[in-house]
Amino acid sequence: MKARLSIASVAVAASALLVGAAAQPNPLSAASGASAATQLRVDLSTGLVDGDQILGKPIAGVTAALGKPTWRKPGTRTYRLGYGSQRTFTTMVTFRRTPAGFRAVSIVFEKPPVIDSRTNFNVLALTPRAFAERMSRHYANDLARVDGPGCRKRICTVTFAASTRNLRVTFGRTPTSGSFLNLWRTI
Amino acid sequence: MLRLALVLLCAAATLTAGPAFADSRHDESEPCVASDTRNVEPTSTAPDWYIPGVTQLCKPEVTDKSGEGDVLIPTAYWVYYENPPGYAKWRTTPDNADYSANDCENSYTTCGQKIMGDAPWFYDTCTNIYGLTAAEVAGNIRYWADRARANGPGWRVYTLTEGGGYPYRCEFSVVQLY
Repeated sequence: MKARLSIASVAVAASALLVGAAAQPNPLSAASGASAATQLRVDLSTGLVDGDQILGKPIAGVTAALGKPTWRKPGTRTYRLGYGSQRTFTTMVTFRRTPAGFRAVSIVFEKPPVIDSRTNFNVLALTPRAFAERMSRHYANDLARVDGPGCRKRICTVTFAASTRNLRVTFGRTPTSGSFLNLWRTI
Repeated sequence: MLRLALVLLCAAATLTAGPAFADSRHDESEPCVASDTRNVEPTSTAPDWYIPGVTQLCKPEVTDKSGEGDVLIPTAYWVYYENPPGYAKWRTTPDNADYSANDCENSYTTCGQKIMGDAPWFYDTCTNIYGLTAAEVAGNIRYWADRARANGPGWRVYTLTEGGGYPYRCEFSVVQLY
């Protein structure tokens, strides 16, 4: 994935990581390490990833923005591509077939520190409940909780809907891959 | 008093999750799969009383007489759909679900390809997150296939993801198409 962060933003992100790690220890973040090349900034109210609107883009548009994927899973109705190993990916983008071709409908982050651009906090260091609390505090005017937080089997999730866009934000945790953040929208 | 409590406890358990017993066609001591269009919460395992290939439907299956029944569907691949939008699901006929159940018993690592289009993802989720054996997954698929049959023509077996298509949930249920 392209390294897009300036030295200043990396410093801000790193400090946020340290604060976040102290508040909510996350074995996943500690294990994967913090790399400037894999840090992404997301705006949870708009779905922007490092300033790019990934959702809605065609496959070529997504790979132009995020770089060459390490794996692809073509299908007739859906198409997925990802970065990192397929089983323990860092980022995965899912496309849905539309009359205009495949369009990105979901982007899932699992491994890299993902910095919320509004709070400068690594959201992957949070539990679903802590994520829900932070969203209620910082995004009260932009995001409304529509589902959770709750656990089913060993998968815990909480989902928010953006008030002005057809955007959903699902944050969750699985026992195998730890925390994940899914920015998605319907077609 | 204790007897009354036990009776109430048994009655509650039967009402919530128990098999059906009372049917003139059936030996009342044998549980059977009854028509039930309300209790369709997806599950990861079949109920304890369900024995694949042994437990029967409480009433004979009503087959589709329209001439466009399940047997005409030529593929073993489940059909992708979303309901509600953004919530990925895959559905298939009861017979094809049984095919997938056999497939999973024979080749747990590859059967997910036909079910939800990604064999490694299916296998990883069902084993590492849900802790299920091939037999448990197969038994659950067969249970829901029988539930679909018991409900009548137009009922399908489905499996699902969380909202936004991730993560996959190694759970099954039934849905009515028509």
